[in-house]
Amino acid sequence: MTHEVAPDRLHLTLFISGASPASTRAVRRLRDLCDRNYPDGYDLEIVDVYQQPALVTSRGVVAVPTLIKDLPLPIRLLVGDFADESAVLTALGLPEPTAA
Amino acid sequence: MTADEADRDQVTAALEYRLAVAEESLRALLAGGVDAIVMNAERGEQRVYTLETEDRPYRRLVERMSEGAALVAADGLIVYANERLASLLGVPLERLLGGPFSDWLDEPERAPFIAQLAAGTSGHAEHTARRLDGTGVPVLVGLNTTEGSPGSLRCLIVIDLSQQKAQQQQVRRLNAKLTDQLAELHRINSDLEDAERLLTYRTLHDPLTGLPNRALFVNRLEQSLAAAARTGHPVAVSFIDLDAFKRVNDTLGHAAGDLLLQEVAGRLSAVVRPNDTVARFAGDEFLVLTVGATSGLPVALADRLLGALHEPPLRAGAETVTASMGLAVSYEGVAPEQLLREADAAMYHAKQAGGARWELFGSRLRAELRNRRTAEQRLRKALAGDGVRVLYQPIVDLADGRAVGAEALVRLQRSHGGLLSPAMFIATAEECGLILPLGQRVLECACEQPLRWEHKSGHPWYVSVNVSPRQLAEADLVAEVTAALAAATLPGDQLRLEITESALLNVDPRVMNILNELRAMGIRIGVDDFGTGYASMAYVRHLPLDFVKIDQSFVSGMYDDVHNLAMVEATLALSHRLGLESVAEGIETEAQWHQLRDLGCDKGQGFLFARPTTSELVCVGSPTQ
Repeated sequence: MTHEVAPDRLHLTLFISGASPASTRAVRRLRDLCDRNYPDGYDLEIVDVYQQPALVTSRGVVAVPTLIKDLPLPIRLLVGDFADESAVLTALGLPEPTAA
Repeated sequence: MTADEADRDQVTAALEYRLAVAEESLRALLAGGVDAIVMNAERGEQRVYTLETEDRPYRRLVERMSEGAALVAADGLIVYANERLASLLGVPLERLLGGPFSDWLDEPERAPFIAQLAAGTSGHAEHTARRLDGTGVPVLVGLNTTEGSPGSLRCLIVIDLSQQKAQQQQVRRLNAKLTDQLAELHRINSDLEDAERLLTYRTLHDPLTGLPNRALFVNRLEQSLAAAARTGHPVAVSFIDLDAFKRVNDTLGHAAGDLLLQEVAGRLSAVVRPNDTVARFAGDEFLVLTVGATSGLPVALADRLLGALHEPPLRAGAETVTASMGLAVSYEGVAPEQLLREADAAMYHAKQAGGARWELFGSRLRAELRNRRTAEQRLRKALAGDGVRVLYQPIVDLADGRAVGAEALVRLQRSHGGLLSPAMFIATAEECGLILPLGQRVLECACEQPLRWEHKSGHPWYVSVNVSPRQLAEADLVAEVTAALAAATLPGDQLRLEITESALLNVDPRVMNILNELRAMGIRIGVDDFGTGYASMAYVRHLPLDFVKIDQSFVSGMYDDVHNLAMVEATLALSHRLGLESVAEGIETEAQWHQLRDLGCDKGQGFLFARPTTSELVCVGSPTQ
């Protein structure tokens, strides 16, 4: 997927491994989180490491699920199933919803 | 910043990134939030090691299967979908993940689907999926809760039904067509059955009267005889024949004859009981099968059936038509054909006795029938083997007593020696039709003789052969005569044919043609037994004739009975007037010979000259006075 993106719009890439438990949890939690925190919209690219191995190599992914925040800069990386929402928000460089 | 510094910063940043990645991965790994790790192998390849390896084969299966598959949470969000589902809905795979599946269903179908998800029940239902481009796709959606899945995931299978729907429609169309064709087939079949029923009816019924025909009658007779054998109650067969029906047909036409037959059918049907059968056997012959006949019945039955035909009298034009009837009652072991023969014989007897009456087949008729059968068998045997003998009685010129021809006379060889005279078998041969092969055999033998006699005696001979009425009516006489002459290389003028007076009483155009054709071949035609029939004088002059044979009964009585003499004189006078040659039969004395000669009779035969003898002896000892 190559399309123009606005530099201040949230763009995320999530690496998952099919329907394995941590991956499915990650997808659900991330969707949920973003829907709540970014009501104006966001881009979430989901990459299955089995289906798109080339992307995995180029982004240096080691473990799955891995979330990479591409925009806005700086690039941030988070691995796991996003059980801790505040940790996710911190990693993404966003304020906690309660503080917002 | 120098280029070196810039490079170093970039390498550092990359390393820091890798480190951050590794640290973050390790942290997540320890926290249990990772389910696969990616390792760089040699030559730049990378492998994914799934930590929970047990579902890996299934995943492959799911990814490659031709049905859409997805895992959804209880709230309906898709957490996993395979490529097939994405292509089915016309969206990129990532657009599916994380969104509710119900968004891809037609609006009215969403709520029930969500309710089913929430209830956690399994099942499947047809839906219309709404593709990204807005087009609808018929789908079958199967929902299963997967046991042990975290967050109670549901397994969703989505099958594209558009092809099946199209096929179903095709099947429905074909089905409708097939139904139409089946109906058509059914109609044709029913038509065929009707035709078959009609055909069966026609095969078993007489079209003119609607009565059962011979075949159906015999069939019912067989059944009745079988029943009679069980119950002991005999059945009766009545054989009814109209008297002089041929005359009605000939004088009033076939339409009048047909009307008469229908009238007879109606009258007979009206007086029989429901279980009895009235049938039209052939022509003007009818049959009645009466079941449960008792000893007193035949008289009552015969009176009832004949009474129905005689009161009121049957009429055809101005004519009153009567019927003759023969009755036969069944007995143990009698075959249907036998019973029919007996009824027929009884009817024949009634007819011989003058008609308009009935006769019961009894012991006297049985003996007669048996004799006739014996004669018939003897005749067949003779014809099949070497039992037919032909004798020849010389015919002389009465002027000088010289033999100029001979009459062929048939005999049957008896098994224990001796010959059987025609009186014993000709009537039977006429009745059963064996007269046809018999007549042909005699004709062939006779034609062989004249040239032999001519060779012996040095002067021409002719042979005179009797032709029966049936030969004239049924055989191809011209062809048979032609063949016999050719086989013997005999000229036509050395063959004479004698036809009885009775056969010439009603000569139709066909017979007239035959006679003319024969005469054209040089063959001479004569009347046999002249004067024994009736109306003898009138018809002779209309026929193509050459000679007249005066019956021996007149010749032998000439001396004693003035009537016989008058008959002979009149015959000779008529012959002369018409230019016919006269041949007297049964000359036994010199006085008869001289008297006939003086009366102008041309030729004669009789014991005075020669008895019938074998061909070899014909020329020997013939008087040459």
